[in-house]
Amino acid sequence: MKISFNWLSEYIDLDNFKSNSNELGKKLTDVGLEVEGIEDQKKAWENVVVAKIITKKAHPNADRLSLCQVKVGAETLQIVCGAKNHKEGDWVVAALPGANLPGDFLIKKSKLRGELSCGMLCSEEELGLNKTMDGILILQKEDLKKEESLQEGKNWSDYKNLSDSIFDINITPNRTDCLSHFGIARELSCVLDKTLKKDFPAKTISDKFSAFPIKIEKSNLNLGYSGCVVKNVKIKESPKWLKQRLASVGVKSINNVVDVTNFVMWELGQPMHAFDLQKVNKEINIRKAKKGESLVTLDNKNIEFKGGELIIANESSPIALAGIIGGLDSGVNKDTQDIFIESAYFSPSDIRKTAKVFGIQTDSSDRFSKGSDSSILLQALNRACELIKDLAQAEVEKDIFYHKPPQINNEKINITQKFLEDKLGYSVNMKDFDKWIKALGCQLKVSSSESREVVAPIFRKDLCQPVDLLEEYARLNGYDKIPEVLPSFTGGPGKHNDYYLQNTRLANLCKNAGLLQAINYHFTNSIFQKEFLEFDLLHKTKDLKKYSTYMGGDPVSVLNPLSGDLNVMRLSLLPGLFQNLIHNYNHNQKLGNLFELGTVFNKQENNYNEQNFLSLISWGNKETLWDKSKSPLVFELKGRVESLLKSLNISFKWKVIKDLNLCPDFLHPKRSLALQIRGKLVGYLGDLHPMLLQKHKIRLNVSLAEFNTDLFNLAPTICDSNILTGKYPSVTRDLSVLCLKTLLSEDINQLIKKVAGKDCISCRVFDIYEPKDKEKLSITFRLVVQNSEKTYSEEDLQLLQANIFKNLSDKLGVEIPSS
Amino acid sequence: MNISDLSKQIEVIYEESLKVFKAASSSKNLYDLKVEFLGKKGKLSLLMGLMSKLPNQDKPKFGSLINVKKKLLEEAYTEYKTKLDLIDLNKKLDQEYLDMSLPGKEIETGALHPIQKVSENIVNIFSRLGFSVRTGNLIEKDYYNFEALNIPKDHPSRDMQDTFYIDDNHVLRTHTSPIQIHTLETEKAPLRIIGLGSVFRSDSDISHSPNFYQIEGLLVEKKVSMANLKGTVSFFVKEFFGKELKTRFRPSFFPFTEPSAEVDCQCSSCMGSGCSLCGQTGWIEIGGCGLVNPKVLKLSNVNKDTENNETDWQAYAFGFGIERMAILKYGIKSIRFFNQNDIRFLSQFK
Repeated sequence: MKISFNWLSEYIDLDNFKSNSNELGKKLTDVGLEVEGIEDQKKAWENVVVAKIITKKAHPNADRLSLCQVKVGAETLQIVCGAKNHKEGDWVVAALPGANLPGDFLIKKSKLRGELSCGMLCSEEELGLNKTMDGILILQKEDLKKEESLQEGKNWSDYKNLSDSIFDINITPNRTDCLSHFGIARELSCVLDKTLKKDFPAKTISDKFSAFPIKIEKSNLNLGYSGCVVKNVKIKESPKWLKQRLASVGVKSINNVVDVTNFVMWELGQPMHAFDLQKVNKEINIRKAKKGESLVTLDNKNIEFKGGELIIANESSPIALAGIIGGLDSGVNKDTQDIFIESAYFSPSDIRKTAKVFGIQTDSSDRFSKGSDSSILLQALNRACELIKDLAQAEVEKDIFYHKPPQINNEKINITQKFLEDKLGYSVNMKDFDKWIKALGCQLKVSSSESREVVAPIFRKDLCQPVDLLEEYARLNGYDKIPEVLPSFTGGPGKHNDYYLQNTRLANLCKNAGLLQAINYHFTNSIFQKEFLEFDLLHKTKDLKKYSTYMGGDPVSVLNPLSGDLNVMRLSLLPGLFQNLIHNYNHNQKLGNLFELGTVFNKQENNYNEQNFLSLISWGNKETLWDKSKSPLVFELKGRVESLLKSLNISFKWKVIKDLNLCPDFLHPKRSLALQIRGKLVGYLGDLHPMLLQKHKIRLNVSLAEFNTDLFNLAPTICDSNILTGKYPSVTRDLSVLCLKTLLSEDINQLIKKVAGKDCISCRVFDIYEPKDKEKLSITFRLVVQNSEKTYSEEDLQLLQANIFKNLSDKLGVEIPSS
Repeated sequence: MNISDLSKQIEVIYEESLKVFKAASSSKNLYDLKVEFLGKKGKLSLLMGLMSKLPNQDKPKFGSLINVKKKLLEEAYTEYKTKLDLIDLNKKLDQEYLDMSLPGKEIETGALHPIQKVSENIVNIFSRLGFSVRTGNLIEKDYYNFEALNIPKDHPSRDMQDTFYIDDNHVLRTHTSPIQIHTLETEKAPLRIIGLGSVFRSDSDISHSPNFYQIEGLLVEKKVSMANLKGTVSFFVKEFFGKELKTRFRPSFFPFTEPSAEVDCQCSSCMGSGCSLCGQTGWIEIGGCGLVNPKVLKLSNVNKDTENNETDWQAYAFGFGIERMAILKYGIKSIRFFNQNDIRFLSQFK
């Protein structure tokens, strides 16, 4: 909220801070009214000066430009100008090099079509003023007369009397009492220990209000309403002081009456409204809107009521959306003669709901919905009437309407010195406490030397518990008085939860495996996600269920997404990682390995499931032959995953996906694997489908994998001592076979292991050779065997080898090279 | 045959032998020469055979003469052999020359995302004070995200957090505080926990991300003061930045704490003297904290009312934005980098 230093000074003496508004800002911040910025108007208009045009000549190289010699003090400067409305002898406003005009428009010395220009002659818009003339601003004779000491070179801020500092204060929702200049002054009177300069008398309550009937629907319990009639108002421009006040808080001047209502709101925090009495037409009804009724609001928007919204209506139709915005028709305009001024209290939750439904936020709705001061209606009404009487030469009628708001007095709060000291952690002087609490306007009763009974004023509805008073004392006394003491602990040692432990372990293992950790948003673009997960040229209409084999649920949408790019919760981490790949690829990073640990979402009926996934993506081949390994990229990824699972002591099984219907669409159907743990499908690994690469113009190999880590069950480490106690040495034998390309090497491997039986220590593919002209593949396995009873002799090995070869050729049709 | 003749012969063989040893071209050649002169059938051994023909009194003298020469020759052999071995070795080493400026076989070094790194870092600091981690669901019931935290429906404090809705009753959690409520409901006081994870706000601009990370702490004890809170936060600030930075509390408002404070720490880049990072103020806002509002402790049945009885549990809570802490710790220039996952950025956080 904007607060003007000069305006504030009307209510409290701030002379000490006149040349040091930062110091005042610090005081406010220190008590919880956080000053987010201070705009110093003098500084803002530096190097902008009043100037006189001495000569005006045509620009030699441009028809539309003129060359002006401008007196800006002792010196005369040449300025090139594009406007047409000026002549020699005019008083104008010049922005000189170094000036920074509104909108961060920095003025520099420059050459325009070959002619030097030492600044710019300003238009009204460039000075942040309303536009009243075309071209640059020419100061009018009447303006000039008022300025007796007018001089060339006089600073624009001095000329316009702009010497204010505007504070931008972040008012927290509990401090509705500070949403006005008077409110801030009241807080400062407590902080600075100074009395307020002004008070605001209330309008006298009269017995009757005879102008017209005002009816309040019975159901509106939490409501207060006051108003009075002002006759023969002269609607005109507001005086300079009023315009300046409103301009300082960023409110546009409309006319004297509307400006007064706005002024009173910014002064006292009470939103006001003025109706054209003619449009009130016989009566005012404060009631719930009926379905089908409508209202054109002040900002010329038509709103249709659904029924039940609180409105102000005349005899027949709505004339205002109560507490939020007035109607265009019933507003004050230049032909208005008599007005009805409203000063009301509306239920915060009603206003909040209605404003939200229509998406209308005004200074008025903002204050009402946060809870306005229900005790200030008549003071605000009086203030507005007096100002209008003065500024619009109007007659204020004596009788007022007053429906008293439900004045809920704040409850008594009992508080003790021990409570304060226990919770603050330092010793408290109750005299200080009494001083601050009284300064806040609370009623205070000293029950005993260390206990107090406190009632907060109505405008401080936020003070209702002892801790609230504790905070008031602490902040006014200064948070810097709080000492630093580590707490003592009476509980037992805690334990991080399983999710955190597993997550950090996985992250660090992946890091050690040479992968970079990515973190993407949990929501994504629904179309991108669908087209990635469901990519399939032939089956465009399929739903996402196919990928849900191990997730089993529908995607979860966000009701109010920021944009279509983030409108659905992710079903998988892979679309996000693929987007990261595209980003990196487009930034010439042609080789990389990323992993992500994160939550994915789906729903079954109305249950939302969150599962934790680990996904990996690798792209590109090692660029140099020097670094390159022989096996394709996807086996590097497979190796990384295997080492990860082994590090976690998880026993797992790969399954080659033979059934196309079980293969996720984004995987290459001939290069994909499923991972099983204890017979359960846990995830997939493979190459990205080439059509997805083509679609995104990526000319690289991409391998990826995704696993549900909630299904990882980590087995404890158990030491196998037998491995160390074998008396007899192990022996190694390489076995080469020729087989069809379609045969799985793993099937051969398993059979070798089976035949070798319990003597088998390990068996692994050693080399693969693919003869160019043959349909067959030569695979060499390296078998390690060891017997617990004796040393393997060459004959034993021969026997075993023959047995293995026989089995391979009988059961798998494998050929044994004659060599 | 007399001793002086034989002595002369020994001398001749000795000299000759030294000469050829010295001239040997390789250790193999040298070995052959050794056999030729010193071997069982070598020239020196042959002379030894002549000893029987000498008179008895000359025999010991001759024996010792020949042994002395033999020993000297063996020493000479060892000396030359060492030299020749060295030459051979150098030859072999030369042949085994590698251009050691060639690059090492590339083994990728992984990295943790700065959010992960900072989270672990913060958890480790609070672990030392007895705090342990809890996590929770990201899609949260309205009650746990708001109402249990003293943020009723249609209350202005809801406007403090722009919320993403999943349905009328579910939101994407706007803070990690629902973790506190779940813990208060399921575990028994006293407690020291850290809530950690991803949160959402429907707000996106140059300094706000709609999906970011928070870390917060909750302590429940019989006696908890603002001084305890400040002590804890101040300890954390010093440990996290590894510098003696001061901590400052500023009054603020959160519905779930009373009193509430914003936490500033001295700017770690200028040590409080004012720079562009801290906007010349010397202080940087890092989070919020406060004593848990008695209403919250009652709502989650930790206490049976809000009367502040002597035997009631009391609590404090604090929270920090993890991206913010990472920005301060590593000097990351823009929040954009956190979710772009550019490998040039990520690979810096080893």
